[in-house]
Amino acid sequence: MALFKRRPSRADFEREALPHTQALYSAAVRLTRNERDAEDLVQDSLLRAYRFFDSFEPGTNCKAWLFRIMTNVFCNRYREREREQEILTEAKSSDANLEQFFAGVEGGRNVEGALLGRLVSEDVERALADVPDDFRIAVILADLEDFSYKEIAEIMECPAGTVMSRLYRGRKILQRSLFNYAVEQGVITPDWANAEAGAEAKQGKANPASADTVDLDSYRRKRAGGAGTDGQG
Amino acid sequence: MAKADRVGIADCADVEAFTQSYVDGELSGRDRERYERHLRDCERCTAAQRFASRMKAAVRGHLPRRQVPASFEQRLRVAIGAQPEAPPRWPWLTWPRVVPALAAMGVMVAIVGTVHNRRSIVMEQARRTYQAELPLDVTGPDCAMVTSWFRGRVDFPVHAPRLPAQITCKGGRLVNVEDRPAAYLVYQDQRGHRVSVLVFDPEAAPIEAPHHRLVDGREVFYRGGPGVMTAGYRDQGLGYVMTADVDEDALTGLLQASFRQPAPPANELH
Repeated sequence: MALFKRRPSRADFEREALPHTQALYSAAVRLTRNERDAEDLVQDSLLRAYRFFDSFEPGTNCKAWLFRIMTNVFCNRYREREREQEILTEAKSSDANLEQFFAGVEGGRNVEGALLGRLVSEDVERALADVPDDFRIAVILADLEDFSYKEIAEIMECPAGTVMSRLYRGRKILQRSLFNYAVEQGVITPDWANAEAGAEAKQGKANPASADTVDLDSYRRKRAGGAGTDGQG
Repeated sequence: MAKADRVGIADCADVEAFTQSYVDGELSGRDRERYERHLRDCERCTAAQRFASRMKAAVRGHLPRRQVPASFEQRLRVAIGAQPEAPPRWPWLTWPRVVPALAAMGVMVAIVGTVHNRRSIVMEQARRTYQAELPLDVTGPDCAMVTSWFRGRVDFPVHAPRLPAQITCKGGRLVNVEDRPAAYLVYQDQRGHRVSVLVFDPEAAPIEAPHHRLVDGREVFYRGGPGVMTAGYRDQGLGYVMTADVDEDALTGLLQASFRQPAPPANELH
């Protein structure tokens, strides 16, 4: 009976939970996209975990338990639904570029090496930040924290099938961003990307990733300042 | 496109879904075996798998763990240290609170039990009077004569419920329900089984019991006792409690008989 179970002490909490602070903080930075919010998120989550620590079953996965709490706090407090919807819509319209890219990968051309070999951490961080919340959480948990699908399903409180589809979608969006950065930086100048960009331009779509037209500095200014501060108009 | 392989994966689209699970180490058993066999024959899927693995490794490699700022770590420890030691999961569930709560709950149960008994007092009285077989004030097989005896002795006209013909009036006794006079009528059948009906002012003692049901559209409350059953109901502003040494269904049959043959108006009795 819970009334007579030994209550965990502060020392128990410090021994079991606090060693996961770095993992929580690291994920929190990538969830909230800034360090100040990440500190708030981790502190809220750990204090909540401390208050409810007697509901944690000793011997089970404390890290997963903490991540479940933090994911809940994040989803309730920080997520930006409108932004997520906006990015999703954009993502759907741009997948054609990726398909072209994979055609190159599968065709044996060395674009894979060109892309992966020239990646910089700043771009990967930026690309991950552009992934909508639900997909980003799945990518962080699977790729950065090594949680299994089952654990992610428990953390995100959704079926394992949903985890797989979120992970798949999140990775696709991440890859698309990385591909676009590589094209705009001239790392990849494949014919198929130019052809695709030309096709989109003819349809009147704005495409900052077109390799032959993009001015990288101008593009970065645009990203930093928002769409209305392009300096072109 | 791969040619059909030995384990039935003919199309690359079939294995595309496996690529992610494979890269994440989630593919096992026959699915893993099938997938790996397919890769041996399919360059396209091999390239896709290799790219997915390298991409996963690259993302991880470029996104190392962030160091927790020392200032934040310090602030965190202070915040946790400010929390009460080993806070209970439900702060309100502590002995200083639980004990008075349990005491209050006990008092409530006692009060509810008292109220419950009080509500049933008239049915309990009818049962006790039935079992005591107290002497009758007026006797006779003529119900009209028995009921007329109560005139002036109780504050309401007494109507004797009409029971089946084989159950005849035996007599009546003046009783009190709470502080008001009431009529206690006794019937009996040819084998000596008795049926009693207590007629009283329901304002003196309400008829209540946990078990009740509708009989011919009328709400009847039942209460069982050792060897007897009582049933209470209201009719034309008066309370009736019928008691007999029968079960609920038999008592209900008697009630239905009386409901279908209403007692004659008081002026017909004389």
